[in-house]
Amino acid sequence: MGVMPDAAPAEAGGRPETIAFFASVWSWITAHPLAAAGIVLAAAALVFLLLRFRRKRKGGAASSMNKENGERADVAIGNAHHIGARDSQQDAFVISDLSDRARCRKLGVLAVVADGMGGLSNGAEMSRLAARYFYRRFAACTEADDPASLLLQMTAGANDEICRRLGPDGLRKSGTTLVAVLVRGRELYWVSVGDSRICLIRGGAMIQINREHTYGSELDERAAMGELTPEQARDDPERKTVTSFLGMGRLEKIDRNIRPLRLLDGDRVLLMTDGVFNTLTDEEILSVLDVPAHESAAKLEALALSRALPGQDNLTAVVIECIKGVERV
Amino acid sequence: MEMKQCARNGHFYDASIHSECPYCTGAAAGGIAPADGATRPPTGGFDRTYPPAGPAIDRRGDERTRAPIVEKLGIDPVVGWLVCIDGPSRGRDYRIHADNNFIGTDRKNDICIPEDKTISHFNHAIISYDTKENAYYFAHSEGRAITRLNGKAILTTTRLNPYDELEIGQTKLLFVPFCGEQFKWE
Repeated sequence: MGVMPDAAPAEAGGRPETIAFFASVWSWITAHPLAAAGIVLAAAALVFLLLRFRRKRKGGAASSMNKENGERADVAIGNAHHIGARDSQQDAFVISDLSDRARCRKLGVLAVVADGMGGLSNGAEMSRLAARYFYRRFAACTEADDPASLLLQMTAGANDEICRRLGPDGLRKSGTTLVAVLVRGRELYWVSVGDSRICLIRGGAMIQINREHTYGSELDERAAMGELTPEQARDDPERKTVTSFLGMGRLEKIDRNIRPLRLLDGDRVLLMTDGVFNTLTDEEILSVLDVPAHESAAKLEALALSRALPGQDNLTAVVIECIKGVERV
Repeated sequence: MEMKQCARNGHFYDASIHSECPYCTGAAAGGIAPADGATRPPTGGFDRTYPPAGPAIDRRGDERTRAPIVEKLGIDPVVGWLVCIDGPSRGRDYRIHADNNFIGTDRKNDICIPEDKTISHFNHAIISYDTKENAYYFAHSEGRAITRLNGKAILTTTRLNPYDELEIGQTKLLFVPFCGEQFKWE
């Protein structure tokens, strides 16, 4: 083809071809109506079968995985909880009842750590309220509840309860952070609001899996995008301000996973308040996590307290250890 | 060590030491903390878990890209007002700062009119004060409803005169300048 004189003729040239194609298809359909209907039906049936097959395969895999997990999966849990050098304990935590093994297999295990904030005893009340809400809701849940949406509902429900308790004038004056994990089989579901942490420990390394809702983490993101210099982000005096927490009214941010995180034997999940990770480095925390869960938690508490920091914050940690299931029900 | 789980909150504790859950009773919580307050300084080297004192969202608004006038003067002064004379927020006033002011129903806007559901969430319209020219401008931005100035639809940026009437959604705002021939922030 030579030089196109201009766009319009080329465009006009394309159109009759398309029209001609459809015209020929249409004339074929009108000539063979039964055959045409057959083709359409066959195509619809094929699509239907494909969708069905996909759904079945997906569901099948999930249930067999659960079954396999149900037979093997088992967790050991330890906790640490201390007032530090403060006047009141504003942290709270709960762990779902582990005594009913069959129920644990079916519904999983829930652990919640909350760090209350705000005036005097108010923070303490809010963190307890949130943790208790999760505990009660989980005790009443059934197998039909999807873990991810259950956690979300519990978070919303706890926030509602706290906001009701605070009343319209009390919003934002006090509140609580919250991290919760639900381990069902070998699947980890988690939710986080505020600046507490959930970490995964695997193969001697520790990574944080939630993002903290602090002004600092926003600054860091903006620094990463080049909007601020790293120094501006680092030196901002407001870094530690919590940007999302239960008790703020409508929740600004919720961090959670929708698809489960697959856990392996030997993995540990650590939930902790800032009283732990502000005192200890990741390396120090890791160094005590090589013994059974409850010993790990006790060592973690002892290590943090051994620093004897004059302003040691309330500290709370829950260690969940994935052990190879020995008991089989 | 004999680990036992308490029935109320599921706390694990050493039953060989405690007869009941020390976390629920508060026994462990207060256990090893310094007994006498005198040896403890009132504030430590640690920041408390920050109380959610200030509305964190608003603070972020303040931390936006800084306006030149803020860099120059160190303050973000008021340069005028909008006063709602008709609509759901009738009687309320809104501060105008230098440069661009975005108007919408969301709190992140510079001028937030949440009561009027016919105003778009973000950046429905813009009112600007140019520090160099000492002049005010008004423009429609991304809002759904037509924005009007003194009853006429505005489609381009228009210079404002004192007591012009701006109409955004169902809200009518009167423009009251602060800077002009008599005064200018310097």
